[in-house]
Amino acid sequence: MRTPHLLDPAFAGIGLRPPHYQALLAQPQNLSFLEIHSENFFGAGGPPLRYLERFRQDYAISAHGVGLSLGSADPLNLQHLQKLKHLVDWLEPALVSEHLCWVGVEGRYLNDLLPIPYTEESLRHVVTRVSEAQDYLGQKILIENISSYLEFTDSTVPEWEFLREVAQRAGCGILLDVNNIYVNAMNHAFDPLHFLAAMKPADIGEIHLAGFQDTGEILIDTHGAAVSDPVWALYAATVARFGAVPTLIEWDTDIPPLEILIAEATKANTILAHKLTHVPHAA
Amino acid sequence: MLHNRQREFMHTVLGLASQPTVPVLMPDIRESAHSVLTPAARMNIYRRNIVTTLRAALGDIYPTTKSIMGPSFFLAAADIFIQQTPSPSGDLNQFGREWPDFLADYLPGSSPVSSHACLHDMARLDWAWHEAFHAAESAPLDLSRLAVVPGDQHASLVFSLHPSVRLIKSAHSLFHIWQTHQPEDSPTDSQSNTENEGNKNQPGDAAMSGDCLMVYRDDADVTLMKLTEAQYVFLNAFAEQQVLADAADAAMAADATQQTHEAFELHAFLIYTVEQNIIVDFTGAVY
Repeated sequence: MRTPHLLDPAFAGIGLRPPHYQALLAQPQNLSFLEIHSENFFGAGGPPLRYLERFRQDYAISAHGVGLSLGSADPLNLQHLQKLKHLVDWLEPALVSEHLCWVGVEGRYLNDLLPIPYTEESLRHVVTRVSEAQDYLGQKILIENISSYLEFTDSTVPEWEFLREVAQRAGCGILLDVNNIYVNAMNHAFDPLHFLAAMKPADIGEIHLAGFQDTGEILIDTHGAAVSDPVWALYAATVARFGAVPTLIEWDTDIPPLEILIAEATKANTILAHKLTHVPHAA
Repeated sequence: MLHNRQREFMHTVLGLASQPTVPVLMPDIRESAHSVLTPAARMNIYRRNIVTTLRAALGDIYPTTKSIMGPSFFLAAADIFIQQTPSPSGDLNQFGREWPDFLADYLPGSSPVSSHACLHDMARLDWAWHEAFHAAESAPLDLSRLAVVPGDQHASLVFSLHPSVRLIKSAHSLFHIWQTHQPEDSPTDSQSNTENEGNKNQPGDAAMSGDCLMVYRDDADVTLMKLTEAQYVFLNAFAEQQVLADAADAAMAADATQQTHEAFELHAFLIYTVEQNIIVDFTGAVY
């Protein structure tokens, strides 16, 4: 029986992407974990699962879903959930996460992480579905805050209150995407520190860092650039508040050589190490 | 309310075709005091993201089709396909199954180029490759199991193919066209091809009348193999659960109509396909 690797919160991880498979196999890296997009391993067999089988021998794995559509008005997609459970039961990932968003409706998927209005109705709906998903999977999941480019007039509470309440009522954890907080703060004119202040430290199970694109009019969450300086500053504030939390460097478009991602992870390690050698401030 | 917002959002996003049109307004998007972006411009960001993602997914699954069509023709067709064809899952690997049939309808009115006649079949080949890549694993057939089957029962055995095996017959020289559209630096861990190495039944002049092809996963790598008509018929019979005797009869009949240099050798081909993990199991007769 294989013992799953445990996450070491003192070191950051990176997203596991095919362009880096050979480089990662050639030389072991000082990474706390590798994160997959769960759906890319929904197949019955073949190279994706064979590679994953090799990587799970050496690294803790985090299974990050992009397609469960927890915020959709549709009934929960049981076929999707079943495939996720099949993967999770085999993989025994250190973390399982999804997004606070909808991906499709009326059976038609748009395959993007789309915002929902933050209302009491939405909250009850999302809480029910997160609970259903956790019950089905037989484990706690983390829910991630997304980037958004619009706000609904229907919303009655701010995003951070909504996220905190989902965790509170559904008993799930939070995957805090610091880049998404920054992007939304700029796009929707709020203080990102308000977002951080609203979170309960015990809920935060993982942190994401990524790069955005500034069009001059709006920030777009591209996952296609290095983490920006203001996001690093916000990350330092996040670690100061929540302590050393498993941190992921995400890079999904224009994927650079592995060394660039390792350098970003090393930068995060420095901030995590700084926190670990200092007495935490009272949260 | 949630359902209405999402339906409205979806229709707005998909209603915006690739051509500039007057965008549908989402009345429930908050105007922002600090940004010049209108609600329509905000919806347009989502439309672009969604279309970009689906175009890329289609291009990844249909690389050969895309290469033959060229970037602009491919995108023009892809955008219509994306608008017409619902993505059925949050798993992008499920998107694009209908692309070959879409092309069959779309091409006659859109493409004057004769080489495009093969696109429907090439799209089927690309999808077969995609399915083979993700298909289940299967252990090789243990030949000692076959050895204990009494000889008089061989004719009624039904052989089963590896889950990755896909058989494609085309009136076009698909294999050659496929080869000329492979990228120079295609990674060996995801793509390879073979012209039936180790097989004595090399297709001869008959290949000019079209191609019989098999896509399958040879251990970890997806492989494209050219078959003779008889070999194709033989394996296809097993895909249809037919017994060995019927598969052999069909193969011999196909062989008789072809001008191949060498006749179909049943025993050699059976051994070859077992060794290559193409035939992975057998059961007794179904009747």
